[in-house]
Amino acid sequence: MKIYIARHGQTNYNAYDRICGATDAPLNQKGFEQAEQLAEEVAKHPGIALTVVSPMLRAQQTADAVLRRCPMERRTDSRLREQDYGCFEGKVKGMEPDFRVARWQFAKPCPGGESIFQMAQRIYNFLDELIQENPAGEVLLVAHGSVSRVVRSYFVPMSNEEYAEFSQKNGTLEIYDTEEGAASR
Amino acid sequence: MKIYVARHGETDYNSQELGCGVSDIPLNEKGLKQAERLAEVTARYPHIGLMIVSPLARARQTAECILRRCPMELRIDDRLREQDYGVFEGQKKGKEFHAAVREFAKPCPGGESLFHVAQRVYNFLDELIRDQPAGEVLLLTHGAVSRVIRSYFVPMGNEEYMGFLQKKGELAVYEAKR
Repeated sequence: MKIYIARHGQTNYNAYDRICGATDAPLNQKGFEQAEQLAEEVAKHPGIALTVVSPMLRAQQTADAVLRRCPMERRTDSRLREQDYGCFEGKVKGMEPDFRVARWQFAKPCPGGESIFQMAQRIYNFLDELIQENPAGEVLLVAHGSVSRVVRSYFVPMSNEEYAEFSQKNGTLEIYDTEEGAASR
Repeated sequence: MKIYVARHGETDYNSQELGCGVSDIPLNEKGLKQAERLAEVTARYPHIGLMIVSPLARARQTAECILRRCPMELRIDDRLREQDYGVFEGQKKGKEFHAAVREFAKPCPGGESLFHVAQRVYNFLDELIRDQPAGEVLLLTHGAVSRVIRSYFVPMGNEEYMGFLQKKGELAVYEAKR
């Protein structure tokens, strides 16, 4: 089975360096353009028969563009929502040195937020189910930066450093094969 | 509801500092004595009505000691088994082992990552707390699992996480709210 994961297009929170996890920000102009480019990229993979989307607006808007170009079955799954960064939501990233430390604690959420362990639980549960239900299919996930990191770790062993360094860009596609484990492009 | 957590007693692998995750090694003499002491400690908590045990022999032997002293219901749950240390199982613990077990999203070669352990243990705890079995519950499990259980209830920074080791022969207590 092949799993494709896309990160939503840009929002003003991304553009202006704001911390955006549980905050439900919409795409900006550039984000809509990235969503269109993503749709062209997805069209090159006609084997994809199902798209599962995070319930958050920026992911739904990105999926809208993809599905217009590539009609297919579409589902929403709340386990693909972004990590909740608690008290840091909406703050300027560059001005929050505490956030840079807090976000890489695996078993400690940002105050008021969700820990990486909790994310791993819900996303690994989601992937276990997805692979069981579609053993031979090709599925596209439209989700978020921290979700994409957890998804990658499901297929590729990542040291703590590699984990923190990996970052999927807005509007891009990553591909994982459940047979091979390793990512290809 | 109250959740108590205890670890099994010592095995020969523990005393010889050999990697011991899914290796199914029985208690040694010291481990059996530790289990007896744990039974005495558990007897101070007569409201515990259910013990859920890892399927590994060292945990089940410890549970048997407790059951002889403290009557309660017993269940076995595979999700309480120890982390799988892959190629390091049964090998002398050295630098490589100690570095490898500090990685959260990277298993020991052939083993199980902490993310996977967190998934199964958090799923287990979600279910347990949702179902609210009557009375208080004792989980009899292992070092790496008791660390994951603690993180479910208490936020733990990476250093604090790696530094935490539950003492053998003691009960950790957590208050679970639905």
